[in-house]
Amino acid sequence: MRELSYDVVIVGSGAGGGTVAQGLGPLARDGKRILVLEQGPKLEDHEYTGQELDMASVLYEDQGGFLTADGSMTLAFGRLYGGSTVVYTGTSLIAPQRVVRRWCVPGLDWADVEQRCRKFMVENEVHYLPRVLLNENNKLFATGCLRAGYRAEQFPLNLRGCRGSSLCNLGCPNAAKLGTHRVQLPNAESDGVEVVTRAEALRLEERAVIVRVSEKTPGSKGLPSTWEPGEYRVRAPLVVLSGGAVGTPALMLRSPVTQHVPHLGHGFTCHPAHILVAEHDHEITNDVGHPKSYYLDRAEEERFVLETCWYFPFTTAKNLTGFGHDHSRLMRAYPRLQMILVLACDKAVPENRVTVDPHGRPVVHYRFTREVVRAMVMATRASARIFFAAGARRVHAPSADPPLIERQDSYRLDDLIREEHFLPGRISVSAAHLMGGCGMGTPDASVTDARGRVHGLPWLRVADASLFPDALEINPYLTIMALADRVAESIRDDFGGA
Amino acid sequence: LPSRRAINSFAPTTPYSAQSPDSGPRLSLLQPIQPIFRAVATAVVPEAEYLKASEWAEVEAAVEAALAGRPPEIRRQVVQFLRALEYLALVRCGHRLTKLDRNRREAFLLKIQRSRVYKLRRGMWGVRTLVFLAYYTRPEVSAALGYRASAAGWSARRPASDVRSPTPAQGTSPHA
Repeated sequence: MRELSYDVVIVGSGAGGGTVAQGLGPLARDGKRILVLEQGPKLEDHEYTGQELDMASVLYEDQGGFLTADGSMTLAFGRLYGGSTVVYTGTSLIAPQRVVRRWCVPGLDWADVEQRCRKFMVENEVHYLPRVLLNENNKLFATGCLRAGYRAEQFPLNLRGCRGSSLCNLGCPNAAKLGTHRVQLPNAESDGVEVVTRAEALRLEERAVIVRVSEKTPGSKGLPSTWEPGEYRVRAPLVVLSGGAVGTPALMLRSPVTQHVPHLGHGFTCHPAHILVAEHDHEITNDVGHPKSYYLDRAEEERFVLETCWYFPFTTAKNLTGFGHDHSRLMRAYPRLQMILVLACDKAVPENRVTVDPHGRPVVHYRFTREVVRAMVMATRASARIFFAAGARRVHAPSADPPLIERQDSYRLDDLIREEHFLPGRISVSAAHLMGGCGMGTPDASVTDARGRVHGLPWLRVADASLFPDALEINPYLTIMALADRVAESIRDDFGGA
Repeated sequence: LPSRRAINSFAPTTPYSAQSPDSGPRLSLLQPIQPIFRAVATAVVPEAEYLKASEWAEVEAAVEAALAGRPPEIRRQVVQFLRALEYLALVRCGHRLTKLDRNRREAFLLKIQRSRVYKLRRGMWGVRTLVFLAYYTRPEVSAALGYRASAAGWSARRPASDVRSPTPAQGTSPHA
């Protein structure tokens, strides 16, 4: 095993790791050796093909189909240079004040989070798309909300020169989305931070990371690693974990030096989601234009958020309930479909957590609580009202049985869409907002403090969504960046305020 | 809607026969249960009944590839579940799954999907998801559905002058 030494090692290059890397740029300029380890490859611009199967296998862990322990939900998270910021839609919302206050983390003030979010909104060129670039899938949502008595809001987005490919979740083929792979990591590298891809953190030792660098397989996408394939022990006085809400707790749990940290892996939340589809009488623009322009925030009142969305044929097919003739007929109506993503605002509960199996692989235990099921059913009813108000002919509602609801039955949605039809295994539930596992808080009840320091391990920090003590109730990437910025700031202070 | 002609463009005239599976390249996982897999696949996606031998080989290779990256226990469970379906049909319908006609196969599998037994529902969800993955990621199928997303985005559908996204300075700012 080869031995290397750095001043700081960052594990992960997504919203958390990319932000810390940039934040430590001044240290690198001062001669400190900063290293980022990324498990996945770095893609070249021409490799973003927009082909569903082709891209999913390189962008996502388990092709986007990482299953929870009981197989009732799939979790989507990125695994490449830039992490999940390569595959999100760029929705840039500031953490709600009520949520940060409810977290009750000593030393964490909402105003500070908000200020840092705004800093990154400027840095990532966040703006609203003009109406001329919104497609009918999105406009119908806004119209339906208005007619149904709801107030839809437009998403601020971190785009530059969006051409409306609608392929955000497969990595923008036009390099328009300003994730950490486009902004923070290149900035860090220009300051002298070293980023090594195809480098999987196997386990932690005290002030060291054991890393395995993999060879690029022939015909696969991405640049080869800058390091020779093999195993390395990378020593550093400070290690920052930014592997996400699944990766970071799992790495700590499979490492003898950290696996006994109390509360590790606890408090996992993910905004369980499913896709609702409605069929219109005529074709609408849906697979062109940015897919996610509007949302309806009912988190405080009814524990759900609705977002516009658009997905590719396989993802759409997978997320519809059932199969066979009815399913096939709906798929053939693809150009006439409108979609809404339903997200439940779940709460941290003891049984929902991250563990590892005997091989050290992450295992996510997740049970749908009664409150989550209720929220998803209420969200489905609201979505159906919005669809019909927008003129849909029929609505596909997973929590109805049969799932197809015709317009003439729209007056009895409460009877048709019911909690008893929310049958895990029958309906598709997925999640992409993975949070918790190394929650911030007081030493007796959490893993980290408000600056990501792991209690009792002064050489170890966490800077990713695993810091969240509970669900954020909105899209999380900007908040992750804000928290990671605080971690980077505290590290700079430790090094003497470079 | 895509025209029937477009849909049929990837549908040959000979329907699938569960009793006489096509010979294709050897598949390590699905080969021993190929008739069962195809019986399930054609119930999950009725259009799959018209796949040619070479197209079946592609579909099955896609399933194999998807499973290749999964833990061995998952691959084992998929095979076991497909075998179980064959004999569950015998118990519930009086015939093996591969001996049922397409409509009865679909009806039987839909019952499995609504079973009170969670493991049966989960297994059915997993198998139908694999079939969807292999079928709906085929470019000719996507095209026949009317899926047209491309990197060109709006410029493929509208005059270029209408579709340039403004820079933040020109667009509406959320910072105000």
